[in-house]
Amino acid sequence: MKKRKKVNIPVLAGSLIIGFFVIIAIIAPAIVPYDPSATSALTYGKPSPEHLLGTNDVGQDIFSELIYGTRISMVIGIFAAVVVTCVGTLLALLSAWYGGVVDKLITGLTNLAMAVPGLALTTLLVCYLSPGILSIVVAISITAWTGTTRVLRSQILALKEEPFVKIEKAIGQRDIVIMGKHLLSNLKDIILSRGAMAVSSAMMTEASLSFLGLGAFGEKSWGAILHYAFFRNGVVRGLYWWYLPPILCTSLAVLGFMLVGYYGQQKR
Amino acid sequence: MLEINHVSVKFSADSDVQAVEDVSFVLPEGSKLALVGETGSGKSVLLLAILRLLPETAQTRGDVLLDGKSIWQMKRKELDKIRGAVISYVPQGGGEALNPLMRVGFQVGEPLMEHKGLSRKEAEAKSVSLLKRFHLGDEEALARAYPHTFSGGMRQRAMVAMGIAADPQIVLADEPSKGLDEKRVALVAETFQQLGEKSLLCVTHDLLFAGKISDHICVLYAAQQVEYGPTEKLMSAPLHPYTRDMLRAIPENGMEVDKAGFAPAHTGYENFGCRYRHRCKDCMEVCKKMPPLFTVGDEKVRCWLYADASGTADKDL
Amino acid sequence: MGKYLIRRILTAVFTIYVIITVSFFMVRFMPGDPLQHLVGQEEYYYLLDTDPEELESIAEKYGLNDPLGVQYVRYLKSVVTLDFGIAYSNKKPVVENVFSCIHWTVLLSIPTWILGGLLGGVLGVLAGWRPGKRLDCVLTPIALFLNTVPSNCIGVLALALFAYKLRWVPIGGMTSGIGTGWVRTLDILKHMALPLSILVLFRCSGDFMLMKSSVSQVRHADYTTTAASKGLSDRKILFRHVMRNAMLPYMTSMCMQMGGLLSGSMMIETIFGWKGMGQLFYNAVSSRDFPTAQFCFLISAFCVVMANLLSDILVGVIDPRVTVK
Repeated sequence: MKKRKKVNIPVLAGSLIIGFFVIIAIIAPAIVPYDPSATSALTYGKPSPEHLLGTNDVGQDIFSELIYGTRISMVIGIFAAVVVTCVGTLLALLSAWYGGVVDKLITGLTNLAMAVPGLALTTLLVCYLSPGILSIVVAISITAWTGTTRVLRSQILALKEEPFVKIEKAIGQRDIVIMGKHLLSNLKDIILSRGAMAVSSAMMTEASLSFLGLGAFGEKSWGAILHYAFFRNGVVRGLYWWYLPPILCTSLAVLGFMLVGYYGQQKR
Repeated sequence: MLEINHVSVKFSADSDVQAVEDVSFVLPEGSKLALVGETGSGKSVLLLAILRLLPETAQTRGDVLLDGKSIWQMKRKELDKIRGAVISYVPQGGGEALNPLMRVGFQVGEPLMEHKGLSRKEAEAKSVSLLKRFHLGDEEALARAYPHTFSGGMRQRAMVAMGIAADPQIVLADEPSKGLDEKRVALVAETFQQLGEKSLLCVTHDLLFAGKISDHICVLYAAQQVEYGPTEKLMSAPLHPYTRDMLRAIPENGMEVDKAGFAPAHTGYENFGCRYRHRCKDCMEVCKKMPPLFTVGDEKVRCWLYADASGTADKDL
Repeated sequence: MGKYLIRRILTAVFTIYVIITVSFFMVRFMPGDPLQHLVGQEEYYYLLDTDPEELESIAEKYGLNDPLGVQYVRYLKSVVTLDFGIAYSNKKPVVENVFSCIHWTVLLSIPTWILGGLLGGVLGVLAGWRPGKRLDCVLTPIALFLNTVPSNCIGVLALALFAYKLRWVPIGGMTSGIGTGWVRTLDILKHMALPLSILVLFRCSGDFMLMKSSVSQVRHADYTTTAASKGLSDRKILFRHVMRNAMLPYMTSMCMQMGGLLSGSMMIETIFGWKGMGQLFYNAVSSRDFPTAQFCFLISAFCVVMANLLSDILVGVIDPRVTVK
C-alpha cells in the first residue's frame, strides 16, 4: 500500500532532453550571436570564438543557424504530431464507439492508408504542394495517423465492455459526455505516449525531407542545415563542425521523444 | 505420493506480491484432492509451482517431493522425465492453452512421442482413441482440427486426454470447470471420475464441483491454507467461517452472498492478523493476531474459534 | 480458404484502383494550373511569357480542356498501357527511364532484405528467448539507438568517415567504369559495400526488435507453459511451439518489407550517388519532373499492395484461425 512510485529514469531523461530543446527554441532570439540568414565574406570559416561552429558556404554563422533550426524542427515535429494524434484519436473514437458502417469505413480507410508507401507519398505531396511549413505538416500527417487509430480503436473497444461505461450508456448519458469523461480520461496516458512517438517520427520524416531539399521554403531546420552541408561540399571538405551538429541535435531530440513515448507506455 | 512442504511463492515486479504463503499438504497415491479458493487466492500459482512452470520472476521457497525425492532440486533433464510422464498438468480450458497453429491430435499425442517413444503417426493415431474415451464425437475429424474450432468444454476434455496420454500417476488440473455451463461441468466431472487409480490434484473455485471429484478438500484464502479435511465432512460441517460462507453462497443453499468485501490485497500482509476478519461474522479481538493452523481430529483449520478444541497447533505461525 | 483468397485479391485490386485514382485527382486539384505539373514549372513560365498559344495547344494535346470524366478515363487507359509520357529531364519515355535503373536498386535491396531478415531474425530469437542475458543486454540498446537516428544522418557520417577520411571505399556511384567480367563485378562490390552495410544495419536492427518482442510474447503464452508441462526440452519448446507462432508477425513484416524493395532506399541512394529507383524519384521530385515522380510512386505503391496480398495469403495458409472468419 505504501509503495512509493519508482522514478521512471528513461522518461525523466527524455523529458529533460525535450525540455532543453523547448527552452532553446523559445529563447532562440536572445542567444544567437548573429542573424542566421545574414551572409558575410567569411565563407567555410573554421570554429573560432566569434563563430562557435564556423560559417557555411555563404558565410552564415552555423551556430546561429542551429539555434534557429531548433525552432523549425521542433515546431514542425510537434505540430505534425498534434495533427496526427488528434486525427487518429478522433477516427478511433468514431469507429470504435459507433461501430457498424462508420467502423467499416474508417477501418477500410486505415487499411488503405497503411498500404500506401508513406515516404513516397509524402515526398510526392511535397513536390505538388507549395513549399511551406503547413504543407510539410500535411504531407507528414497524411499517412502517419494510422498507427494511432489502430491502437486506440482496439483499446476503446475493450473499454466499451467495461461496466462503468455500460452503466453510463444504459442510463442514457450523452455520447459526447461518455467519450470525454470515461474514454478519453482512461486513454490519456496512451494518447500522450503515442503523441510523443508521433513527434519523434515526424521529426525523422522532416529531417529526411529537408535533407533532400524538400523542406519548408526559407525556414532552415536541422535537416536543411545538413542538406547544405552535404550538397555544398561540407562533407567533401571534412568540415565536421558543419555536418555533425545537426545530426547530433536531430538524433538527440528524436531520442528524447522516443524515450518518453516508449517507456511512458510500458509501465502500465 | 506427492508432498508439498511449506511452499511460498512471491512475485516481485513493481511491488512484491505474495501469491502463496507456507502451504503444506500431502497427496497420497490414488487420492483426489481439490484446492478450493476464490480468484487471486494463489491456487493456480501453487499448481504451476509444483512442476516449476512459473515464469522466472517468481521466487519460491519450500520444497515439493515426489516419493521422497525433491522435484525442485532436480536437474532439468530429470525434471523433463517427470513432466507429462509421472506428473501431468491439465491447463485451463479457456485462453490459449493449446497451440492455435497445431492440430489437436498432435498436441494430445505429443506426450507419447516424448515419453513412450512413439512416432508422430502412432501418437496421432493413439490420440484419437484417447479422445474417444471422453466421448467428443467424431474423434477422427476432431484430431485433425485446430483448437479454435473447439468449444470450451471440448477443449477441456481434449486437454484431460492430453494429460493422461502418457499414463502418469498424478494429474494436476487447473480450473477445469471455469466458464462452462452446468451440463458441461457435469461432463468434465464425469471425465475426472474416470481417472481411476491416478492421483488428482484439482484447482477450482467451485465447491460443488470439488465435492463431486475429490475425497479431500484444501481451502485457500488470500495465499494461505485456511482449512483442510475429508470432502464429505467439510461439505456437511465446515469449520472455518470462510468455508461456511462459501457453502452458503452456493445456489442450492440459498445463495446468501456476503457483501462485506474482498480479500485483502497481496501486499501488506504482515501484521494483518487473520485475513478473513473483515468479512467474518465471528470476528473477535484475538483475530488481530494471525491464527496458526489448528488440528481438529482429521481436519485442519486456521481460526481462533478452534484454539480450545485442538490438541496441537502447528509449530510455526 | 477460397473465399478468403478471393476477398483478399479483390481488396488488393480495389486498393490499387483507389491509389491510381487518388494520384489522378492529386494532380488536378493541387494549387496551381495542372498544366504546370504536366509540362514542368520552368517550361510553363517560359511558355506563359513567350508563347501562350503553344501552352494552349499543349493543354489541348493533353486533353486538359476536356471534361474531368473524359480525362479520368483516358488517364486510366494510360496507366493500364504503361504510357506515362515523356520525362522532362532527358526527353525519353518515363517507363524506359525507370526500367533502366530498377536493377541497380534491386542489387542493393534484395541483399538487404535477405541479410537483414536472417541476421535480425536469428539474433532476435536468441535475445527474446533468453531476455536479460548478455546478448540481449548488448544488442537491444544498440538496436534502440539505431531506431532513433535518421538513416540519412548515419549515411552522411559513414560517408565522411569511411570514404573521405579513411578512404576505404569509393565516395559514390556504382562503378568506376573500368574493366569487364570479374574486374567489373569486384568494382561494383566495392562500391556497394558501404551503402549495403548501412542498409543491412538498419534493417537488421528493426527486424531484431520485431522478432525479439514477438518471441518474448509467445514465450509467456499459455501454450508454451503447456508444452513445457509435457516434458519437452527447451530446444523442442522453442523450435516446435514458440517459433511457429513467433514467425507469424515476422513473416508479415518481411512481406511488407518486400513491398518496399523499390522505394525503401531513397535516402541512401541519394547520399551515395547510387543511380537506382530511389535517386530517380528524388531527382524527379526535386526537378519537378511530375510524370516520372508519379510513375515511381505508382510502381512502388503497386509493389506494396502486392506484398500485402502475398502476406495475407501466407498467413491464411499458416494460421488456421484467419480463414474461418
